[in-house]
Amino acid sequence: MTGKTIVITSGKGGVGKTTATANIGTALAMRGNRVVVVDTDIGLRNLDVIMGLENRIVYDLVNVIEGVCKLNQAMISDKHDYELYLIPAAQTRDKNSIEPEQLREMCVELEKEFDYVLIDCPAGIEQGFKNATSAAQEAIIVTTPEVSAIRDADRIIGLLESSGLHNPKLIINRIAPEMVKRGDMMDQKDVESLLAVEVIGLVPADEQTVVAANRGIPVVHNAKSSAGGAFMRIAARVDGEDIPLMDLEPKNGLLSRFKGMVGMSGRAYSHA
Amino acid sequence: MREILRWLFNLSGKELDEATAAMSKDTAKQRLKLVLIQDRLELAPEKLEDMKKEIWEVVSKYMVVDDDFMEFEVRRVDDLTVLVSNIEVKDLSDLTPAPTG
Repeated sequence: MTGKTIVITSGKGGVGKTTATANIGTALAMRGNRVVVVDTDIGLRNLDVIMGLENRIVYDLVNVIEGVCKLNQAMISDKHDYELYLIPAAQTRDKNSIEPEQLREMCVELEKEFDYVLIDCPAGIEQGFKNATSAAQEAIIVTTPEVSAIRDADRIIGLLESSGLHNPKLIINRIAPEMVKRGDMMDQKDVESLLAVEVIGLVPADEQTVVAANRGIPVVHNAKSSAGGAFMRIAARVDGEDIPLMDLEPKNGLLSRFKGMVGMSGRAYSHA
Repeated sequence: MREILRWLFNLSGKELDEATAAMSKDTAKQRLKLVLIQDRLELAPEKLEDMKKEIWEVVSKYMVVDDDFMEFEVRRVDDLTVLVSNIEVKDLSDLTPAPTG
């Protein structure tokens, strides 16, 4: 088996990289893939808490790299009936504890066992970013429809390009359909025209994402949530399915309620 | 008209101003366009150097220009990002029409 390694990155912090990694990883596993997610945010690990696996950590990424433990000893199995593992970041070390080649070597090993190796990249463009991106064959960039996040995403696209990672895919996270509708938030077309990369998913701002993080259960487990549905669709696209992006429409807008009453398309929160 | 709108939608003057003002996403887009142009140029100084060299080569096809003196920079002027270049011309003789016959 030869899987592929995909890095999930953003430049700016706090746009949802870790949430995206946890959810795409979980959704890919639900679809029957063997998946391992790797937290490379050394010193600021978080993928473990988002996935609810923080109490089961014994060894971490730096332990593997330094040969303190075997690769499979650091892999924490998610407690569900599918094949999903987490390799947590070290919390008491810094990002210079590993070299790009070492992470690359580890991922080559993982690719023999797994369909997908997802790397959760730290924010910033320093050593941690270089480590995470050097190990990957493909990149997914997470942004929000805000000026600072888009600016940083553009910089990341340039840096990925110059390090040989071409054609990154873009996730636009935390879209507020009501704000888009009244012209106070950029939509998919606006972002695409600025960044000139292919959009692989649109994720609405959804309270359930916060609830899911509180509980340590990725939001894709909540099939009815709009964000969960959006991440399922992203995973399907990563997995090679060709499904169209949909418009995000306000849920309870006056207009959509009116449309519902007169029998027009009363679709609530369709998501891509 | 304004008064009718106010009456219809029961808006204060301030709210009406906001409602009829440009959409804030357009401001965001416009600002980002300019910032990204600058960021992208800064990202690839070698590209800027290549362009400088090529422009010099094109200009020197038509006139004799100084080898060393060439100012070249990307600058922001009000709402525009402009490329400013100054090249010292040594001789314009190549521009005079060649004698016929």
